[in-house]
Amino acid sequence: MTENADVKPETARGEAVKILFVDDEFIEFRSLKKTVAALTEPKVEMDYAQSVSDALAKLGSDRFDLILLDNRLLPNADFRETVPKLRAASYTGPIGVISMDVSDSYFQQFQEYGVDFRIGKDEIDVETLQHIIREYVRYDMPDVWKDDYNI
Amino acid sequence: MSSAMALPFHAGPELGRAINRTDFFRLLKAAAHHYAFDSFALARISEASQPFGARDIIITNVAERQTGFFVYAMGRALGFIKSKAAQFLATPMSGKANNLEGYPPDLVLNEFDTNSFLLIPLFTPEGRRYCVAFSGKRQQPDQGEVADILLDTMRIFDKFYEEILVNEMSGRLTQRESEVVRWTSEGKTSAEIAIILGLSEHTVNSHIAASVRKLGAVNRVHMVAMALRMGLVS
Repeated sequence: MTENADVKPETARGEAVKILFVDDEFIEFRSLKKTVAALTEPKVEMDYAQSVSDALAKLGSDRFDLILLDNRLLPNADFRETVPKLRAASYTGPIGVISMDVSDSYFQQFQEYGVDFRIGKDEIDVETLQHIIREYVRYDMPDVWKDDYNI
Repeated sequence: MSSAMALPFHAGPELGRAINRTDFFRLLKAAAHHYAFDSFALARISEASQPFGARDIIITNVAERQTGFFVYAMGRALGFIKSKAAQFLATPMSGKANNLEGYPPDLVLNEFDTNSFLLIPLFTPEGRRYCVAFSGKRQQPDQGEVADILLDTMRIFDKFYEEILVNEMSGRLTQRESEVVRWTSEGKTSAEIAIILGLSEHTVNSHIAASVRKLGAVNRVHMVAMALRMGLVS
């Protein structure tokens, strides 16, 4: 829960949160969709990309509030290579890296690569998704921090 | 099985690795579930509405619309807190609201009404007060279990203090915060700074919030003026 009262305009409450899930295993997307099906609030719309290039193509034609990215994508890239590519395409929404194992030491540098958070695959459930959305998508920001605030 | 593998998630290596709020969400959620609680809320102790109000919650797994119910049910379960605030200052408290007499007719019964609650008070070295409230459909914990939960929660909070609160209370800008202030002084918006630095807008806004707070500013413009005056940007 953040400290302030206003709502980020582009993701106003009531609108569906659009999530792009990037994973080379389609079955993982089906599994996540099952989890999301139990999420009644907020409403979530899911889309799937099998690779970073697929994700970049989708980012070019649609707006996403959140990207959930599998850490290891074929052929053998991890977030240190994949996330900068998404950021280079001017995607400024939150990116979360998902992995079976987030214990490798390089994960400690995730923030330096433009990643907002990391999470184990087995940790994703409705509560965790609600936290992620509240924390990174629908976080509150006071007027005085906004770009267009006038005294 | 090694002893390290036997450690529960919240007390194992992930505790040492935690660096952001989501990492602490993961730890607290794991701790709550380890002790058969369903919900948790890490909150600042409120001067206005003891022990805390929904707006004082920092991290929780309670759905946003349910936080008011959570706090209300906790107040009923630990009803003596308000009258014995001094006792609350140092010791964990548990309780369960079984008696629904006098329940306000305009308030719908909610999932927390018959839960056990355990409230762990926490302190920073500077004397700031926080707490973690656990709630679940379970019996009230006995003294031994309360001691275990207290220890685990204090360990998580110590790390939270070290990684999050120390930086929040520090008056010094981090390298990233300085970069964000500098780009703001160039007239860039959060979205533009996010693109320049390869970060999310959320991260940039977090750095702006931290910088505003650390510089004692009241808004972005004032933040830039303060940074210029202090020679932090040229």
